Amino acid sequence: MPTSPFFERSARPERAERSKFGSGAGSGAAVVGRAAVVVVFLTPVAFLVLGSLRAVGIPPAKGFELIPEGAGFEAYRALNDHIPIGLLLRNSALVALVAVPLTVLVASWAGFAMAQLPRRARTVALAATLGMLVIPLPLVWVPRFVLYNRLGVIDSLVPLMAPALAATTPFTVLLTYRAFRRVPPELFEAARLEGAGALSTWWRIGLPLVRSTTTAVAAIALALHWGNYLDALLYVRTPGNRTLPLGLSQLAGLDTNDAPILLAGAVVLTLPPLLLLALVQRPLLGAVQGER
Amino acid sequence: MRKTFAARALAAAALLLLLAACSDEGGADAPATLIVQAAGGESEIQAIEQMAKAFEAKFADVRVEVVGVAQQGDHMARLSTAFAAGEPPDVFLLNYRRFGQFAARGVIDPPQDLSIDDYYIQPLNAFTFEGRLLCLPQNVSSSVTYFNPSLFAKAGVPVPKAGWTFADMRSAAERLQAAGIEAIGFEHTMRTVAPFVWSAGGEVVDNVAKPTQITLDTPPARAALTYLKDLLRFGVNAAEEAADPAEERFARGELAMFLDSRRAVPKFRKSEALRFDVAPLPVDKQRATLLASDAYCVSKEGGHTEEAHEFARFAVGPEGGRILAATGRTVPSHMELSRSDVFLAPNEQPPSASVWLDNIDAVRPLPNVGPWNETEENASDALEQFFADKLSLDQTVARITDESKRLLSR
Repeated sequence: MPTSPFFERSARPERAERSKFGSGAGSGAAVVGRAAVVVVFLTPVAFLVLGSLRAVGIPPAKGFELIPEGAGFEAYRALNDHIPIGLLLRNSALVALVAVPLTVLVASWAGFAMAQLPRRARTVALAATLGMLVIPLPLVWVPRFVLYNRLGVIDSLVPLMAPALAATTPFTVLLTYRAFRRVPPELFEAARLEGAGALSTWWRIGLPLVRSTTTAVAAIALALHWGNYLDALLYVRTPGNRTLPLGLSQLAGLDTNDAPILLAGAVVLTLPPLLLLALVQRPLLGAVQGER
Repeated sequence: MRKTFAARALAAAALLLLLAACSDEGGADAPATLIVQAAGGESEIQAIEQMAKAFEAKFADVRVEVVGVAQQGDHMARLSTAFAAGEPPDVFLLNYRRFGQFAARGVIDPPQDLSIDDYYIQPLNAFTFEGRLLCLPQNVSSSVTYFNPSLFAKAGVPVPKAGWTFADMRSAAERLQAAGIEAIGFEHTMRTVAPFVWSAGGEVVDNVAKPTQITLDTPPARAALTYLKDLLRFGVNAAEEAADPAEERFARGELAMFLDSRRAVPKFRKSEALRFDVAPLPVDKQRATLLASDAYCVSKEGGHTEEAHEFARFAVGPEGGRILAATGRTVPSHMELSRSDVFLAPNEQPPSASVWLDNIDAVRPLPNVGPWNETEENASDALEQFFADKLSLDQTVARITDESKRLLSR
């Protein structure tokens, strides 16, 4: 079994872990540090938004413009002239609506099951999951193409949702595994003694105790599926089945004078997951600090 | 009741997946639907779509679906995956420097019934693989010098003209810079370097048909590289190029000279305030320029090969070629069309469009063998570092030589 602390059952109380994490919260250095992180991450977003407000059809700015030339929403209005933004948003939303819950379900099942396995089998399962993490993505392009084609779902939204059937990425399985390993095994044992089955134990005992992790898994799944360009490029052809990232790539072919339209598209792509992540930031922090 | 929740959730997800599958609008293609894949900007893809509509109007029993991919790398990834999975597009548009890997795998169906006498031989040769023409070239573009006559006039420097020399270009660049004008800019890649190496009397590879290595380690090639790097003292250096590419500077009317093929014309035409013209590349020991050509290739496994060949012939013929030439981006490979006003466009910029036709007898191709695309990209990476002063000339040519030997031996 791996000896990394990540995979070890936590011996420390969760509350102590949290208080340790937050011990410097009020200090000036911590505030400055956090502000620096915020600036680093928000600067590209500021570039994006300000750039999208620039007038269309004029040469790009030479540097950073605090007030863009001809500032307005012309690029947003022009967006629909170049790509069917409503259709792309609908398709991306449909993919996310199916793939995100499915990812959470499969990842939590897999993580729960792995956490309950005997030590030897658990080690094998963990090694296999870790092994899958390092498989280069291009290796699965062709097998997936063949599979989707045989199933008759190529050039539909299914190939974009299908990775959710395998928890989207092995990382989500490892996350939920870690969370379930933190739950005292006596709780599961007690449920078993009371006659609860595996599904019931997972649903009634395990899942409520790892809610922060499942929220984190949902956030990861949303980010991956919402921004999934490669699968859309490889497995979708018909304009009616394209998603937002593919539409955005079409805008990359625009003349540089029309760059604000590309940036407006990027804002539309970025905004929904950003808003959702802002809404779930509290449980996400919980996942980072340890389950309640 | 709770026990059944998970099963219900899974069933709901499966149902949604099924619904999504049913919403597939393109899964049930009609038998005569041609899939045509091409890479390009919005205007190029729109021109191909327009051409596809003209084809449909002429051949009512065939429908054409154009799959436009914005980036070349994505175009190649999509093509490679589709071919490997046995589901390629019926027709795909490729540059000859990238088509080798498909030609070598024998997945291209050679054209049928083409009257090749109507076309320039240079692009036909570029798409000939192991003695057989495999794809139909749509254009015969080449590298030229774009220049801004207003900036030359402001500096009192004569504009470039056919037959001007390496020394003339350097002298013009020096005088332009002395007048406070940014003189020259170009891509720091093999595309730019190759014609200068040829003109200086060198070779880019040991054998264009069967290359085993890139040969930039010869004295003429070294001289060409040194010459180009020296030119950057008067223009857009590597750091400036990364921050604000020379093409943008030229489009804004801030750069006097820019080296590229015909592909830059639509962009420069859009810049209403810009006045520009073109001249051949400067000459050292001999005239030379780089062939730029894309062709329509038909997949053997596409399923509609007859219709696909019909489409390819239409695309490169007078009717299809006229639509593409009207975008300003292509130099038609069809001889008659290239000499018509559709291409020469006397009322549009650049006034000297005939430079591309005059160039045709001086165009030279880079190799079209399978591993060339990767080899060229690898060499261009090293050249970028050379122009950015991160590699010396010796280090650059040594790295390019060694890497090219390794890659071309595959």
